[in-house]
Amino acid sequence: MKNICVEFPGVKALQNVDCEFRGGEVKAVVGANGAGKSTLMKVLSGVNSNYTGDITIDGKPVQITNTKVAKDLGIEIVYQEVDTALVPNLSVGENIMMDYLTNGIGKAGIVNWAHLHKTATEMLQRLELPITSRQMVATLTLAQKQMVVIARAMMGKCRFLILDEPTAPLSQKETEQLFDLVRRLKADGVGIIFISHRLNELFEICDTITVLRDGQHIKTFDLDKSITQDYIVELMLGKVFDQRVDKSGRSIGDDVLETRKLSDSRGAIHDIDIHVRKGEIIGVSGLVGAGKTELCKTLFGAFGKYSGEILVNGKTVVNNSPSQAVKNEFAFVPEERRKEGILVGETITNNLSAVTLGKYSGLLAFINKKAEDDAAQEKIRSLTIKTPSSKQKVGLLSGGNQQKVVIGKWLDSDAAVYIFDEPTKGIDVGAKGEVYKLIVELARQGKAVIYATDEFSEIMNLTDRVYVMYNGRVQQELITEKTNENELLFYSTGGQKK
Amino acid sequence: MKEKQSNFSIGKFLTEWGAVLAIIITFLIFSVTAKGLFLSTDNMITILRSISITTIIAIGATFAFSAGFFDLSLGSIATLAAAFSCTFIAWYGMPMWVAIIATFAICMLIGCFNSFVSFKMNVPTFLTTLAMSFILDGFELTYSGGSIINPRMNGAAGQQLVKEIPSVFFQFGKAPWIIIIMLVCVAICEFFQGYTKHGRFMYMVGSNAEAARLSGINVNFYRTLAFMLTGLFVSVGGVLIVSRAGTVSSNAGSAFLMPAIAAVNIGAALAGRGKPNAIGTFVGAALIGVVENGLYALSFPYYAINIVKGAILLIALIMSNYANKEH
Repeated sequence: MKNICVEFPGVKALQNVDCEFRGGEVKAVVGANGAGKSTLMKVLSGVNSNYTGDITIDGKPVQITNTKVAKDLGIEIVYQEVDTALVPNLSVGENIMMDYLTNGIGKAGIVNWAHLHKTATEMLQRLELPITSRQMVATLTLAQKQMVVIARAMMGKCRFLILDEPTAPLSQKETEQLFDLVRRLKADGVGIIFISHRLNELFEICDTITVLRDGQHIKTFDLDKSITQDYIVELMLGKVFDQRVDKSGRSIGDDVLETRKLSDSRGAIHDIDIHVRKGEIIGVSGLVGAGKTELCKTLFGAFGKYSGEILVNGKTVVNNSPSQAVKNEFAFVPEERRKEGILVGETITNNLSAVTLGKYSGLLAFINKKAEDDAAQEKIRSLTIKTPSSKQKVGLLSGGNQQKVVIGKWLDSDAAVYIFDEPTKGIDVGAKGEVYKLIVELARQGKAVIYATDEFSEIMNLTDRVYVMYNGRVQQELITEKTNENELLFYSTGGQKK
Repeated sequence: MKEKQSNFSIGKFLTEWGAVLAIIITFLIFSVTAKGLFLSTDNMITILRSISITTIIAIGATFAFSAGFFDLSLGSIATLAAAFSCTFIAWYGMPMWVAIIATFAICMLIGCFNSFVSFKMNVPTFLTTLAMSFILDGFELTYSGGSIINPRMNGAAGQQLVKEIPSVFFQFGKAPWIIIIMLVCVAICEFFQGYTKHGRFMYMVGSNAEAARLSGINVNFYRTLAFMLTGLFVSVGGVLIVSRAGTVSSNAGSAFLMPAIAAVNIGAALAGRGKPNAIGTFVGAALIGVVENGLYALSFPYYAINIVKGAILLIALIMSNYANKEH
């Protein structure tokens, strides 16, 4: 690809980007949010045909005008949200053979089921995937669904496979499985384009790396031992980035939150005993599926009735629904930002007042729009939300700024307990730092903070104490200063105290 | 794709202002072609009067739409409200206001029940309200003994006429009262949705129920409230049906279902608001009213008017979904 330019009204999304991809090579494309990774991939996969510049494949110039052209050229893309690419109530085989079903059946329109499942099974075996053709997609785990999407991509004559943040929702073990698959594909001569925010993974799997920043190509180089993670971050941000978080200025007080034998009604978590003190940041660690999200949601009442007790300041409270939890001074920043956190089509102001609108409304619940907007402006300033105005639709903001809005809506809610579930998922390194600062600031104000994440480095950087979860239970409580990532991993994978 | 690059797009302009434009154009066409008949003060009042029931019932639908679902039973609720309000007075001797308030209460309870089945029993609202509309239609037919209800006579199912309906009841259905009631309904809805906390929360529930729930909003409360307000405003429309026509036929209310849905959808696209709103609904209803009235003035065959109305609904749906795509 040469001199690729993409312009949107008012923004140059890509400026003269040159890029080269080879078969049998795994290339990482990294950059902060808004750097142009997705835009570049959209050009390659034919989603965005509004580009200028030349694309050549095997020396022949091509025009990628739509997704069909891209597919015919052998370029396939696997998006982060695999669910949107699959039909849940069809079998794995049907999903893999989607192209056969739509184009290959012939005029009679009769499906040759034996052929369908046989071909799909062959592909699953070739890729050594632990799934069968007749399984229902709806019953698969996220990682398995991803594999189905990849298998489907391989059904075509795929030469280049784009993986857009494939590991974001995966656990350590699942990530390993995915990497094994990537290596097999690479051995088959497929060129892999790997997009990820998790830089440490790249060293494991990628041969070369391309860094983008502000729509421009910064550097492409081989990813060998001499490269450090800090160096890549530096290139991505254009400045030296300090990942350490300043946690000073807090005073730890008495217990604010305590749970006794907390279990949810769905059987995802069992007998959780934790306590969080005033001004303290505790981590909830563990692999995907360990029950972190379930614990957060049970605490916040989002899973309905529970057994056991939740105590705030020593008094038992009932959190059977989120609205009760809010009254009991809980705040919750959920994992799925777009689905659970923001109202995409509403303005920033309306999102920021979603929790505390009662404060800005008086007689007959009439909203004082001036007071509401003033408060929103103030939050936009203090949270440094980058936006042209408070009337901007939140769906149009970048991931990091959306997350600030989600946190911002709780800031004037007088909550005593803040629960964060993977608040930095899918946001860039710079925005992550700002989110950390916000969380520490809340702790300084005497809030009790619960921070759930499967990234051990975040636990190490941010928390005072950590509860490591495994299989729905608290496996071990650790003091962050006296532990390390290896120990976290040990307990996360079910290790018992020696 | 190309069009989006310029700030002005014809598609966008048409979705946002198409309804207003259409009213003006239709108005001009009918004024010229049906001279005298169309452009008279009397006829203007006729138009306003004729859109008032549609508007009020559409206001009811606006609440349901704003909370993210729609109520197919609203036509049947309107019929029932019409039947109950007049017969409660005529056959059961209730004072007029008691009869009207009892009617409102029953219709709001139906809304409650719709909400219970949909959100506690997890039945899609579309199906709940479809089933409900059959039940209510059947109930109305049973109550009326299968014939047209005339509150000046005994009921066909054996009810005795015990009281004459006060003439003021029939005044509600005449200008200027019916027009004033309509404007009050529009104003209340606009105020509620645009300026109150509850209206805002209802929109939030409609646009992303899970995010609203996790912000501590009691989602089912607002859904139930939306269903009840739909029931309330639709029953106001129903009372006006009988007060205007004097009798109640078994399909009196269902004739308003389609125009109400069309009005809300035309309105949602209006002025780029992108969501159901009272002023938009009013403009939408006005458009349908003007077209219908104009077609009558041109002696368009009455049995073919549904073709035009259906086409307007289709265009409205295309427009409102185009508007959603723009977002």
